Amino acid sequence: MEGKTFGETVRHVLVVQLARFGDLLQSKRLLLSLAAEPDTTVHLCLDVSLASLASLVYPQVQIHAIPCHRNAGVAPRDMLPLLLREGARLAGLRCEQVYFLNASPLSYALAALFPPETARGYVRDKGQNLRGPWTRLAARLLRRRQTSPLNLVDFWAWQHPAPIAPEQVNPLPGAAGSGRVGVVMAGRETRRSLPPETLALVIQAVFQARGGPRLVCLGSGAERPLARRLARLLPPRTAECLEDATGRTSLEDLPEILRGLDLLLSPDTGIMHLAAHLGTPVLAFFLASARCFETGPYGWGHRVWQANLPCVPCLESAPCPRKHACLAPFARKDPLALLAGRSAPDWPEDLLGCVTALDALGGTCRVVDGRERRAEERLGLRSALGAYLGISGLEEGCGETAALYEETDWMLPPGKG
Amino acid sequence: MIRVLVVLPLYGGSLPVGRCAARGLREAGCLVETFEAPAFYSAFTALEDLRVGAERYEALQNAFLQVISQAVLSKADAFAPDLVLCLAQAPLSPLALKRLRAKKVPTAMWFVEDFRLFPYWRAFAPLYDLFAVIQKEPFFTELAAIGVQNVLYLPLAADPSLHRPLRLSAEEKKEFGSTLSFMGAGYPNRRKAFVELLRHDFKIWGTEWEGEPRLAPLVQRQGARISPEDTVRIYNASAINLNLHSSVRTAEIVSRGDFVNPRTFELAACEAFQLVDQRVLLDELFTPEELARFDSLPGLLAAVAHYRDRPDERRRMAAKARERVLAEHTYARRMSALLAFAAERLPDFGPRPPAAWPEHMPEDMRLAVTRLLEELQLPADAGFDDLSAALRTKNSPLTEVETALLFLEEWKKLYSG
Repeated sequence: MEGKTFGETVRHVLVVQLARFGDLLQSKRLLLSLAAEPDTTVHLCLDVSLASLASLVYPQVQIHAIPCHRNAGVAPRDMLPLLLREGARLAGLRCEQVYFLNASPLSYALAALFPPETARGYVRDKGQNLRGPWTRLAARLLRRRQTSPLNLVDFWAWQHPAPIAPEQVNPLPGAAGSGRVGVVMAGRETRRSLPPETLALVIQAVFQARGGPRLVCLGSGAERPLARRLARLLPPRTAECLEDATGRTSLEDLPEILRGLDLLLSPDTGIMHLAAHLGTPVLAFFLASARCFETGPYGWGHRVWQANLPCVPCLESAPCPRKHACLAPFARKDPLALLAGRSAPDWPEDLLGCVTALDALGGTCRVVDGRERRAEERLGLRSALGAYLGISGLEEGCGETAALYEETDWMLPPGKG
Repeated sequence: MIRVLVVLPLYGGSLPVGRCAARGLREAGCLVETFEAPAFYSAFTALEDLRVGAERYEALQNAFLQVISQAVLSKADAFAPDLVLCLAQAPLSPLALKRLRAKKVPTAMWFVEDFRLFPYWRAFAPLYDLFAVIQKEPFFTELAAIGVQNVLYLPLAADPSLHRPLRLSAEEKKEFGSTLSFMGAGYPNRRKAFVELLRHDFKIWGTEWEGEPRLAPLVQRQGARISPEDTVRIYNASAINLNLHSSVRTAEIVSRGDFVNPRTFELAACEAFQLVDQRVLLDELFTPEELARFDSLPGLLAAVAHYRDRPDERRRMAAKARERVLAEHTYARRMSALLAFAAERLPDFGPRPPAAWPEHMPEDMRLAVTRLLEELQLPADAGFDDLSAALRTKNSPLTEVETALLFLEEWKKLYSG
């Protein structure tokens, strides 16, 4: 038996998270909720490239690594033996519950290994791929993304009937006092990141406000050209303080680097979620298909600038017909002035200044600058969602709560998973 | 391998033919999925019990059939067949057939009905890419007149795995045996003929025999439907199996129609002796040395009198008939003929190149795959994708080997594009 040695009373539960770096961090509330159950060993199945980081982030969890990503770093000859070995291990655990968090064909294929009655989330029964009732309901809300009220962390966490309190997930953010500010150059989806031209303006504002901190560019080797361009765009004094660490840090090095920062500037990335996990203060930039009410940094007190245009959030896979109009708000005078510590009487309509917050349901964002489109609807849905989960005391809105439910909920037997 | 989706009808005589055709396709080396329309039949009968206005009922029937058609289309999307084979009455709407044609999925109909009694083929035949029939002229000409070009004469057949000689117990011989027997529905010409045979040891099996008091004592199991398995027992246990093709007209007991019914082939495959009425297309399927035939009521009575006391003659003929069926008239042969016809008439039809197996497969995995192919009744040269398609339809949970293979195939599909 692996993990804790509690004899026969130990139960095993498995979480299958086959997605990316950021998703691994956003599974935290569910994993901690399961780990908080008595005599329970929690297992996590994920891509091999994330195994070392997962061990650092979740020392209380048993890691099972399989090749899921294109660049998983597993030689073709090793794939089948690895899958077979880990499959045998996972099946041998005889888990009481298995949580499948992704809608991917890989996750559904893996679900075939387990008795359907133990599966939660994206499950498979008699060869049929299914979504459990909660997953189905939440996916329904996510279809209307402009009013979607649920953070992804909580979407996964509420697979558990009583997840731990949101406050127990991440520490309160606090500066390391190092005088260092991290800058994440780009996420996987480049359209969701600020280009160097805009980022340079933001950095300069932060530089002024903080009296010239050291700036550390973070990212993979692929982002190095961006970092160089950024350096050329910054005023000489600022550029002198810029340290390019792109391509020089492994995933496993990141926690140490992030712990030493006073602030992290980032688009919606895995590094941003890792910073929130560590309690490093974040200023995040959400644009294009990214929406802070869904995947914003989890916890109290992080700051987010969210593009506030009718076309946001967009569909990442479709070309932008508006010449990336959602970039413009991040270069406007007043928000940058505010960021630099000066007064700013005219906050633009197409940008929201938010501070992350927590309520009984989980993570959310409070708008402190600007006016959110359809805020009332989002809050109404959040309140209705709270009622569905048996939570009271959420901020009230006027959303159409009937949007939560469909005919199938009313008329058909409850789904599996 | 060629993938074939067999769409069964909701009910009726073509249903067992469809099941046999699916087995025949497997035997012919195809990867086969069946659309189990009979599973939806109870929903259809529930509509019948509504007792609403006729127009409303018909609208509901149409809506119901649209749902079933959508289900067939979904199944086709998931299975990606090279051919969709429908049996007469298969629930595929014209719209669904057009959708399949637009997606370049070839369709075939095996119309195992009398074209004179079921004229609806006129509306549907042009929507199929191949149209297989059990009659010849003038049906061929009439189909050509409405633009149907790819017409194949495909007579019915037997399934030797089901229709075979049996060693019956004494109890079975007693229950199912008699000198004369008939298995089938009580059509008018049969009623009229059989009242002339009352003095024989005669058992009648099957449905719709009500309303003829003279035959009532001969009808077994109160006219209940007889399973295919018991039908084979009856064939095996009877000295003389009467095989009188149905006719709604009583003026002529022998209708001298053209097509040959399935019972002819099934009895022959069971090595059971039969007396069959003369049909236009019978002589090209069986010789008089293989099957004894009659062309009138006096002929029937004379044949019964002749063969009743000649068991050796019956045995010799039955053995020859079985030999002929096994050589020429199995469902596997019919399906091979259909596939050859498809290859001749449809552009690009044929076995798809098998997807490559993973390189560097460990030896124990190779052995496991060989066992798996045998278990799933797949040929040794099946491709990786064929095996995965078969695994996808298996009930959960799968074994570690099965899951690893399925996972790897999904992985390849995800990243090979």
